[in-house]
Amino acid sequence: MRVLDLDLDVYQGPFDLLFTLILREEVDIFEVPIVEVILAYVEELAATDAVDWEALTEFLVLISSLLELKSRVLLPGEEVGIEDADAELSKDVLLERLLTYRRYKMAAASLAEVRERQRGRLVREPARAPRRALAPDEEIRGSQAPASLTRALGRLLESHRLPDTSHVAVLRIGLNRQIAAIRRLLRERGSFSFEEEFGTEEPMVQAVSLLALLGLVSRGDVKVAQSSHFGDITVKHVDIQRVALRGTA
Amino acid sequence: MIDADPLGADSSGPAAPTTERAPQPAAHLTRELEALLFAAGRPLDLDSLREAASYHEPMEKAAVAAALEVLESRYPVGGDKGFELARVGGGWLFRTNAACELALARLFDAGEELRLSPAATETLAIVAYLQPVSRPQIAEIRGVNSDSALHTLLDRDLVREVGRRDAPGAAVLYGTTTRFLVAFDLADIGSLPPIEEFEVGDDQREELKRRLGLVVAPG
Repeated sequence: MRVLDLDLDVYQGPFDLLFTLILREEVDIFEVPIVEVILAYVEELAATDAVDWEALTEFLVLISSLLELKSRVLLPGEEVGIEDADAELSKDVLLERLLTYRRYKMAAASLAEVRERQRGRLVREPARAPRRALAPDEEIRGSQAPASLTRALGRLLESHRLPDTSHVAVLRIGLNRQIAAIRRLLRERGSFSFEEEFGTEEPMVQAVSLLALLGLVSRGDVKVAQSSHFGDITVKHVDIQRVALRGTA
Repeated sequence: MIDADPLGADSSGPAAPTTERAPQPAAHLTRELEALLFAAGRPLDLDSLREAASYHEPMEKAAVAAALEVLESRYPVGGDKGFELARVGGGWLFRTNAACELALARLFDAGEELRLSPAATETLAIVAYLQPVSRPQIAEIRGVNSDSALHTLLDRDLVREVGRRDAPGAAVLYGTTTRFLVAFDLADIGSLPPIEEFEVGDDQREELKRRLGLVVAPG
């Protein structure tokens, strides 16, 4: 058996190794010296300080695939039987897989060649962030992957333009304003429903209005009634006379 | 003048811009497209260019195509200018002339970030030809787990997730990006050389069969 000089690091998988052995080294699969390959690897492993577990795993996968391939073709071919039919079939499958792999390996070589020619073709960075900073439609269409949404948002954030906030109005609200508003409503109507007057306002306006109302209640200026928890609040004027009386007390 | 070609006279057909009949594009349009492509730094397609040029009124597609042809002849690929207008990545893109590589390499990284390991290049080829394709499919062809190669490609924006298989398990499917098309000088994914070109020759196939014990060698 001749000694093969194999650098195991450069093989991309069992098919690659097998292809090289068979076509470049012209070894029949029966002769593939698996023990030698393993010994070479173990020696190499012993010479290194740290164990690269990933590389080790890949080697195990590589060598066991090779063993499987070899054991398949070593099955005797002369006896006729169902098992042999299977063996022939798996050899055909192996051939097809080898050829498929070879096809993409060659395609990869062609890509690498193109890439090499592209080295002198540089593209400038964009002068400005594009106005439409969202990911192109086709990149997010049909994808349920959260990652693509993240990327789309990321691209939006990368845009150097500040977002247009012209549609966001500044909320102008103050306790005194709301107290005045409640007083005006009571002056005009004598009583009103809190829900009707403030129910459709922004949450902040509702909250400040409620504080204003509570302030007025604690000062004894208004009376409130609520028929159920979280129900509507009816706001009424306190009897003017009572206010006057309290004022003289 | 008599139209000798009745089939070619249909002006309502799909607009393949015929330079002879199209009027000379307006100088301002050519200039504007040149500016857009100069500023873009990524491929711009006909629709984007037309949209940008239609600031007053909708611009005819044929007019934009004609102006692009003027620019293409002004900045031909491999011409004597320092940069060229290339049809890549589904649009038009200005890039430097490959003939200037040596000078450029002294000042800039000439696409070093796109140097790929053999494993990553193989994975990229599989994704490019078979997209949309799942991880198990890639591993099946390569005979080894290809996750780390795929991660490299995702990191470099050469490959992206394009969806999920509509089947139990809903495996993530991968496809190539515009950056891939630009990096590998492809107008679109259909411009890849046909995969059949990489088929092994008949003699190699026979040799392989013989060595695999599929046929008995004569003698």
